[in-house]
Amino acid sequence: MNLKFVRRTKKLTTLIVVSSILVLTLISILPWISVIETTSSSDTLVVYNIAKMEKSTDQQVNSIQEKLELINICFWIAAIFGMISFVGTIIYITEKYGSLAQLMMVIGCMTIIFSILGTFLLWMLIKNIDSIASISAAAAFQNSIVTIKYVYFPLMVGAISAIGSAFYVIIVVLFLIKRVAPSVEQIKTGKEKTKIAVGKPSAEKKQKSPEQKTTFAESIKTEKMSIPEINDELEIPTEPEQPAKSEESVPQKKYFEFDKEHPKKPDSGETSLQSGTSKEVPKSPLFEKALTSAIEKRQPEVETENVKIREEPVEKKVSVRCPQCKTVFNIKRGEEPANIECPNCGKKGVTS
Amino acid sequence: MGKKPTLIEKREEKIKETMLDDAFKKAEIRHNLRLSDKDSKKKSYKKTFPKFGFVLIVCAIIVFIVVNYVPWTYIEYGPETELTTVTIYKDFKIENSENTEIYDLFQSPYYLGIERDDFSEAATLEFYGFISLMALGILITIFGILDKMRNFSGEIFAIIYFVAGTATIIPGMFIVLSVTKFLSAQFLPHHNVSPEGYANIALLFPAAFILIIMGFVIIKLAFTMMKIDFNKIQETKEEEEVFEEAFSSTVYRRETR
Repeated sequence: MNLKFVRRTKKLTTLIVVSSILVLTLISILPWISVIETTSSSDTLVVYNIAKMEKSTDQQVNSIQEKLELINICFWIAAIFGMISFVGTIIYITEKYGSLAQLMMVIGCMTIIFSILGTFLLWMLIKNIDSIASISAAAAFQNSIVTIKYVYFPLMVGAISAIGSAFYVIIVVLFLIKRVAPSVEQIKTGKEKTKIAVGKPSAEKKQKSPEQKTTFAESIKTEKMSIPEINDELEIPTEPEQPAKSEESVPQKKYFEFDKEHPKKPDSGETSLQSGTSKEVPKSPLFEKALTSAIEKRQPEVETENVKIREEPVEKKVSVRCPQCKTVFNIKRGEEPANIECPNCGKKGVTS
Repeated sequence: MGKKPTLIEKREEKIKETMLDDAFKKAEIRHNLRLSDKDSKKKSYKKTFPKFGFVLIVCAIIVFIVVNYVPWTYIEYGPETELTTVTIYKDFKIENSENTEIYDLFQSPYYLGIERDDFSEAATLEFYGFISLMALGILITIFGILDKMRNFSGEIFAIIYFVAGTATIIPGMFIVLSVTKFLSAQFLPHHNVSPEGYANIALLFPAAFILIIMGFVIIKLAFTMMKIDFNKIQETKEEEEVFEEAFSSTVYRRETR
């Protein structure tokens, strides 16, 4: 699980959705254009918002309103695709339905089309408004030097949405390439190796199953051994020039080699011993300390168990009570009848 | 004879033992000496009853009350006119007056940008928003109750919860965008009507203001609730990842020794 990727995509999808909502709100709230209306007495400057544009009889104003509606639709779709990618990210983090999550994230990449299209249409609309003689963009702040128009606000937020969606697409595409590339490489280059490794699965299984059945003491012993010792134990030749001691040892070695090149992912259910070889810098000494102490703690237990198993048939003790002085003492059991003597009073007797 | 261990010492010893046992079990699984027990290995996302459903139902009820009982427009006339205040409710229902001046305000030359039809249109859209919010709230609550009975897996619970949470944003957007024209109408006369002409009249759209705030609150709530649960999942995954990393590094050390 790549948590960095998840965090980034979540932030970006949130940015896309929020900025799309903001653009939609700004489009319907802000005054867009100012039109010079000529009456019998004088010319008046009337400011239009989208609702007012809708009710206007002027064709030019209506065409601007239609374009604004198109921009509205673009950002609505961008917001919906953003939400789809957001849900995809959530499904991905739960590690269930991984392929569905990836599909949703890929579908979410469509936001780039609509957010860029929306921003581009906004830009074109501003240019179009400026080109019409009787219509101009409504000014929020006007000065002899600087003129800030209302239309720039949704344009800015739209641009943020477009940039966010572009980053999102880059991240998702890179992530998918990273995920797909190793498997393609594996198919191309490692076909022969996989054949060797997977070619004798039954033999490998047969070799593994008795390993799993080994006693705990043996496993601890293996853990404490060095690599050459392990190789000796498993009958694996340390040098490639050395001849194989047994037939089964050759595929075993190939299997290890293959695993080193393509280590298993840490999130897989049961990773083998080689899964950690890809990590170069060992971390968390605390964990190792705990593990070592656990091994040490277990070891004497196992040893005593083994000793007990060996001693039990030899040393079977029976408690006997002296009929004279009532002292209780232990005697070895096994060879009956045997002569015994009380350690306290010295009374002699025979066991039955 | 050694000193008898106290209760605290015994408990400490017990905790230490369980911790070490767990670590050892995991080590065994790693070394293929024990079959992996997925239930004990995987830390799952802690489920909590989705209170968000109740929150949505409450929000929907507030929206319904605002649409029906809060005035959509409040007009206050200056001292020069006979009228003093006029209150307009949804579907352009006017209280206090039948004066034609009010109708003129929402007709040509459209200084406000809104017409009488907009009142009924916006109210209908808000009603749809209320229904969808209510439905989502009830669905989330029913899902929470079903989860108590059937105990879904943490992942399925999170997926359904998040999908419902994301779906909540859409009615929230509808609620906001269907009344923004009223907010816009609040500002438009400042541009179009001269200050002298606008001095005799004061306009306010209380319902629209409250509904816009409610819409944004719903959107923000949806994001916040999802963020909280997202962080919970993330923490669980981070813990798992840290363990995996620590473990693999330990195995690596042992192997290279």
